[in-house]
Amino acid sequence: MNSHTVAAKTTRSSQQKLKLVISQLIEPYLYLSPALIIIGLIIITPTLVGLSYAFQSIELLNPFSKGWVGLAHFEKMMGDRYFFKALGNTLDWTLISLFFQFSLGLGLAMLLNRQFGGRKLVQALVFLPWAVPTFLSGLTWAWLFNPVIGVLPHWMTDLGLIAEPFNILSDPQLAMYGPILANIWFGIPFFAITLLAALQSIPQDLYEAAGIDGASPWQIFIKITLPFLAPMIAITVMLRTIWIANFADLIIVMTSGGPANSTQTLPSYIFTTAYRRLDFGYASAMAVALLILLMMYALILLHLRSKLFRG
Amino acid sequence: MSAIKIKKLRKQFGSVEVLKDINIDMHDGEFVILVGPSGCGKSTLLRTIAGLETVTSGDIMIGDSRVNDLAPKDRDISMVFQSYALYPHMSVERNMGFSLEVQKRPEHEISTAVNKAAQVLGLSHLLKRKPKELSGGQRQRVAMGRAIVRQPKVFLFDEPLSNLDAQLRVQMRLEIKSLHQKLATTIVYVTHDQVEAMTLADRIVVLNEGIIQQVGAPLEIYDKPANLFVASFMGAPSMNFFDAQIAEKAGAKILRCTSGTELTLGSGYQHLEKGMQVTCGIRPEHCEIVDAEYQGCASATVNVVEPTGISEQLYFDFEGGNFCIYSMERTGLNNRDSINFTMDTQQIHLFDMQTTLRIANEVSQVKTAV
Repeated sequence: MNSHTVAAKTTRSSQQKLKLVISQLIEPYLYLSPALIIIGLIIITPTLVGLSYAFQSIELLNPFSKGWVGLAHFEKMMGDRYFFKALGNTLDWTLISLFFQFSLGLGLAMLLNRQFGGRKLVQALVFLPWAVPTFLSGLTWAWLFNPVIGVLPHWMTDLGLIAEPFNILSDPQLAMYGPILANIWFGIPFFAITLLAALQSIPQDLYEAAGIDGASPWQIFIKITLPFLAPMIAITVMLRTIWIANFADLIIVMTSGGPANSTQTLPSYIFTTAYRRLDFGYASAMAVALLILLMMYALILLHLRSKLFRG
Repeated sequence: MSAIKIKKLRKQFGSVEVLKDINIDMHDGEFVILVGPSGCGKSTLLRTIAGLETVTSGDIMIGDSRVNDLAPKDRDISMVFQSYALYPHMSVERNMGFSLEVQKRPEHEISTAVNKAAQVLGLSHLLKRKPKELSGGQRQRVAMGRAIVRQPKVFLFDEPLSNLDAQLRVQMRLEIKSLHQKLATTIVYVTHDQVEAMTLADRIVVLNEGIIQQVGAPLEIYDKPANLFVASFMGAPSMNFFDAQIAEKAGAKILRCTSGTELTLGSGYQHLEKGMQVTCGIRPEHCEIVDAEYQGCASATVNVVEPTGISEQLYFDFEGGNFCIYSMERTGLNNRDSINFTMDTQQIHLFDMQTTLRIANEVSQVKTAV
């Protein structure tokens, strides 16, 4: 009888223990559940649905060909001349925009980091392009390139860049530079704002110490400023690359990918395929390809970053 | 030659004048300490010598050249910052050799200079580390090492020990002193800690509100403060003050305090005129607790007793002011105990009530003249 009670007691206490362990395991997920549910509903579900489209035939103009098609879209992609043209354009568009956005943004940040009268106002004004809706910027830039109402073709002629004022957006050789220029203008504030914040976090006395140590302004920039900015540069360049590569608004508004697909980047080609030709299946397949490319890029960059900034 | 001469120096920030007519001659190899309360302009003065601040008017000479318009790097100085200002992304080695690195000196020369300085400062085993892996005292030493490697004409220190804990501060103080003895380079050192000033300096410059109050050797400043400010600022615990009038009694001049207490006046002050209003100052160590029978003693009630182990500081009210006695003996007194005390009247400092300037003591003047 005595041993009975002991046994009963141990079972009860081990049961309680088990309950405790389970509740401790579950508790964190209960707290997390609202966020997890929202993420699941608005991020994961649409992604999965989008991914599934890539393996189906969904053409609104051809409603009877619905159904799973396996890798057919991807095979078609490999033979699609415009897809590779768009891929090349995406590369140009991203790299040229990024290079100028970054270098001009860094220069602007360094200028804004100096002391001068009305600095706060200038800082606020500089960030204005970021606040203008892209649709509006795209329209304005398109008009600026129009020789009838815009000033740019005339300036370019005066500078000897083009022989006579014409709309470069209608020249297949030059059209890509239109949206790229608009994109550079649009993206400079992002780099300026983030790099300015990083610049302002560099302690002033480091500059004073370097000055006393005899470093020239260039040496101070290379040996003090850049190393401090490096982590911020790495993260912003990565983010911006992905954003620019995905960014189709300006192209759609300014050229719609034309003339003759000469300004088509992958996102704009995907947009055109989905909403002009209404072929959602093929558009999704291309979007998946773009996603894979960007993910590979991000992984490589994150790997490099962790290697560079270890410790 | 690395003497520093400062002539008629003025510095304004907008309409605020932070340095007013500064004149100092610092000798070659001298350890000069600029001391004063926060906002007295001592750091600004150091930064104008460094070239980190421009001057409004006046001249700064280092050696034989006027450096007013020279950039910091051309003044042949090095500076140790309060925050140390070590380059966080560089190893100790590169931090220390940075001034040579930017001059593009050959690598073996840099490493020789760095190793030499590291040896002097006991940093040899830390050369490969980053600043964040070092303790406060080690960072402080690296900052000094970076200054030494350049072999400048002048070292400038801006409150270098204020970020260290008390024990480390004492240790680093000794190291700085022995470093100065080894290098024999002119040092200008800013601090608000008057113990640091007393222990390290060859000469102390006391500043207040942008004006030099007194320049002199530590003990000279302690023993003969030029005015009320210096008297109250230098020394811890601080000097006791009370107001009095010169009176005459039995043919000798005496001090009559506001409350009527009478004190004998030192022999050096017998020339003063009767009826003159003065502020008297006496250091806490020149007061003594005595028995009630002691002739001419004053009585008071203790407010606070502060035992420090080595000594005791007793605070009480006297003549309308807070008074302190520094006793090397353990009195065993408690708060609210009544005490009797006397002052060494020969040690009383007199200050003019209007001008706050020190009134010269004839005896000590004669002594110094001899």
